[in-house]
Amino acid sequence: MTAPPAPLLAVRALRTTFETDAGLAVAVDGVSFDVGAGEAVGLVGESGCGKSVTALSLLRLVRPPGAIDTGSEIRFDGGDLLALDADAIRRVRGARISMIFQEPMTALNPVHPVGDQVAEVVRAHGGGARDARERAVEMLRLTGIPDPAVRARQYPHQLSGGMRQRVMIAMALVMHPALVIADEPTTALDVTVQAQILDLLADLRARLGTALLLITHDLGVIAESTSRVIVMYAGEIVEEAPVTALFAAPHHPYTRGLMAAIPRLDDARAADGGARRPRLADIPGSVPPATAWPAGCRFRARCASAWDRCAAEHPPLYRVGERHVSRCHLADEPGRRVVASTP
Amino acid sequence: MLGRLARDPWARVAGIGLLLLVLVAVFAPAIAPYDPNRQLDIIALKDRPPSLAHWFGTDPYGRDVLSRVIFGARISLAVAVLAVLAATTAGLAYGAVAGMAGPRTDAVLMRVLDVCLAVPRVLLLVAITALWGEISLATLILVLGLTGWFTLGRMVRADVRAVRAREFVLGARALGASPTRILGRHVLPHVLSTVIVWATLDIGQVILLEAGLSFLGLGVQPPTASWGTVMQDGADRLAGLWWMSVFPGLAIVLTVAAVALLGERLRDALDPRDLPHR
Repeated sequence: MTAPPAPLLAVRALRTTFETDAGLAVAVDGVSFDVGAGEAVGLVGESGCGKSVTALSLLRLVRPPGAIDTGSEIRFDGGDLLALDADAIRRVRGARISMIFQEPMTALNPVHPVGDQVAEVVRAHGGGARDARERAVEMLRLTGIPDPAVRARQYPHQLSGGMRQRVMIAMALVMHPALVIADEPTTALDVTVQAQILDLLADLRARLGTALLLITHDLGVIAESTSRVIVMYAGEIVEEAPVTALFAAPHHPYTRGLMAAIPRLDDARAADGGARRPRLADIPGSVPPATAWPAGCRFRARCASAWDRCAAEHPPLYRVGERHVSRCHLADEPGRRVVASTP
Repeated sequence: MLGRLARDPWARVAGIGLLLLVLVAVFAPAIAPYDPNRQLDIIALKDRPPSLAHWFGTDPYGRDVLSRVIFGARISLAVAVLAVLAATTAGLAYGAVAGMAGPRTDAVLMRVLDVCLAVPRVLLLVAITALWGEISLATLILVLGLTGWFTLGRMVRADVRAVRAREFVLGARALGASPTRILGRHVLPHVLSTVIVWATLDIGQVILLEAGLSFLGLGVQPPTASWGTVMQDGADRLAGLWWMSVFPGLAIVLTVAAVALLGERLRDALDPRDLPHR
């Protein structure tokens, strides 16, 4: 057997900070992960956990007062992204790594026809005007937009939310990048349209061999479209596992809390009995401020199982299964887990 | 959006009026009954009130005031348009640089602008023109233009900042657009409506300023006719030579009103969401 190929993207000890009036906010604090060629990886966490800043850091889109620490390493396709000059990183953006944003209404420029905006990506990477226009229409066709030549001349406000997100996908994929970072690509859409967009992404990925880093707070979306999941909390990775392993046996109390917070259809059915609907579980409290991460385990204050060791010792990433790691001392002392009583 | 403007009756009146005025200025030699600088008959045609032969009367040098007002339109309009063009260029460039620059450069550029804005424009104009000595038309245009772009610079900078913070600019950056591409494709189109409206409104102001300076003898120099110099020629006997101030004054008032009206309507017609609230 040969050695496994180097991953497409290798992030090591990524630390991104922001100067604020309240002090230095460490939005991303020592994050390391890989994305293989053609692989789909999910990045989950609640608002403020650092997942979006991680995404922006990968393309060096963090602006002052934000900065990526010098100890960080982002290797892509064998090269060091943090070593590139401004022009070289610009040539990576959109062509080798591209990005899809959450809100297609604000992420598209209202004053240009959508076809022009797709073509603009080709032009930014040196394509001629006619070639760019043809590739734009072709890409719009690939995203399943009917009558792409006609739609290309329309403005964003003339398209539905789903159509606009298809345009965004066309913009992200028109240069056939090796990696697409999608930051909450379906959050702003109706549930039925969400499914269509996720299917489209999966289909195009399969056709073009594109790797995906899918950022979301929605575990349902993750289960549907990725093979591996990274869970972030308070600027750190707290759990990482293949998607089946994570759903079968989530280890970190935070991951368990996230899963318990997914509404389930059978709960709703129980309400039909007329008695009482079980209350949807939540995780008490909120993420601590990034200017003052607590010592020890950062999830401690919200964790039912926490004991004195969690305050004293910052947990490392324990190995808890096949390609499955968890930043929780419970891996060491499983007997201490407190299981919340179900109502 | 310009169709909306064309259907607005007031904007139409103002637009047609200005168009006529421009035509009059362009074809002045064909329209004016006399040579504006010729002293027709220094004895018989000195200080004559309006008559059928001289609708706007004659001035103390025996020149036809109507012809001077018609030729004056050329100077007054040309000075205003060119000065506003200069101001627009300067304001747009300064505002775009400050808006695209980092926080430190931006802060320095804005403090410089604060200082410039703290000096009243009229005072600045009078001081510069009075100290300059001999004033050519080019100098006058330059001075009017370079003292007039401060508010525009500030507005453009604010617009650029606002557009730059919008997500489609981040999107464009994420997909590999260079800063110049972002400026040209994404930022400037959003700033354009502000610039057009500002320029229209400023033309009226510059016409007034030029007239005022010329009236004070600091602007257009005799014998060249501008609306301001015609008024100046009758200034020492304002009540006696009323036609020398009323007719050029009327020309100024109507022009400035038409320009201001058109500017206001233009502002309403251009997408209001893209204009900062003022």
